Amino acid sequence: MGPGQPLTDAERERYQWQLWVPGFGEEGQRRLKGASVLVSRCGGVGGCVAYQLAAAGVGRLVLAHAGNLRLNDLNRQLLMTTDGVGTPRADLAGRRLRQLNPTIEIEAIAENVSAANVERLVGGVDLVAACAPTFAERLLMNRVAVRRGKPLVDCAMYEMQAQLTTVLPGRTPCLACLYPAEPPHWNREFPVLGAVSGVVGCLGAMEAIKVLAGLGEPLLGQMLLCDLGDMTFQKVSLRRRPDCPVCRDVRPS
Amino acid sequence: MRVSVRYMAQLRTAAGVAGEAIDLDGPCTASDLASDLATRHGDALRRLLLGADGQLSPGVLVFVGDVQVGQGENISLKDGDVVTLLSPVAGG
Repeated sequence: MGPGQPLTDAERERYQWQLWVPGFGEEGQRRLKGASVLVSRCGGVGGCVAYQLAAAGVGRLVLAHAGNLRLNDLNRQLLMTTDGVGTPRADLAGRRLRQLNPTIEIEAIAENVSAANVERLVGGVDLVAACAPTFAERLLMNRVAVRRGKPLVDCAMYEMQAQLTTVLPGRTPCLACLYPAEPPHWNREFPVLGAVSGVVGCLGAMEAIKVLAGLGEPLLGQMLLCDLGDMTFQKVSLRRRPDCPVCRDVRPS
Repeated sequence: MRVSVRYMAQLRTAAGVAGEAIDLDGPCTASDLASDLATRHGDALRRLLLGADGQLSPGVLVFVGDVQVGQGENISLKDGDVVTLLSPVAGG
């Protein structure tokens, strides 16, 4: 990522406590300010990713999420409020994040990522946070992100378990290496405690911050498996598929 | 020879247990183990673990210890191995 943009005095005050983080500092903050992230979607996981990235000062967030808020979204979708039931979730997410941090740019789009908009949405940002509840959408973003050399953080959960990996095109396995076909048994409606989706959302935001700011060690070629039922966290190494149709010919950018 | 199996995500629901110890009679690959487990636990697990050809489904991620076993890779399991079987999830 580039050197970013200079900070104002107000930004130094807003981000004061994180400027103290070793290895981050003003240089890391400048990089976040100069960065842009697509978050698809802004539900239990993506809402927490977006919230943390807005608080941390990522300069531009693109939120993609179709549909109106339902009452049964509220156990996990923390950018939403009860009085917003029946109104577009993208609007609610955008409004909440602007309240949190009015110094950043937020583009809230009331559409899910699809073949019609994926080139524009993925192509217009520095990093993708994949938080959609379908493999079709995740694999679509992966395909475009790999071709365009954009990092992608994949955050997913089920019941009390979560998994997370970061794709750097040409350097790590991509999602199509892991899932060569759309898994047929995945059900778009799944059991979820909001605290679990919040955990994986915060972890995913941390991965994005590390990649954008050049901080720490992201999960490159690794997957974090979390079982919050017994608090087991395991990091496993992943294999790149030499015959992967998406990334086999991609070299590190 | 005894290995430990850890089920993740929907595989855990289908198996009905988080994990178990499995005694094996002889040399065994991860794919062999999957067939064995499908026999032990019945159709719900079989549908997730095995493809139509009876082989380990490409949609299941397999780890021995902390290392992924590639699709079609015939690594022989060793006594004491911990095998993690993960069905892909996309909860967001």
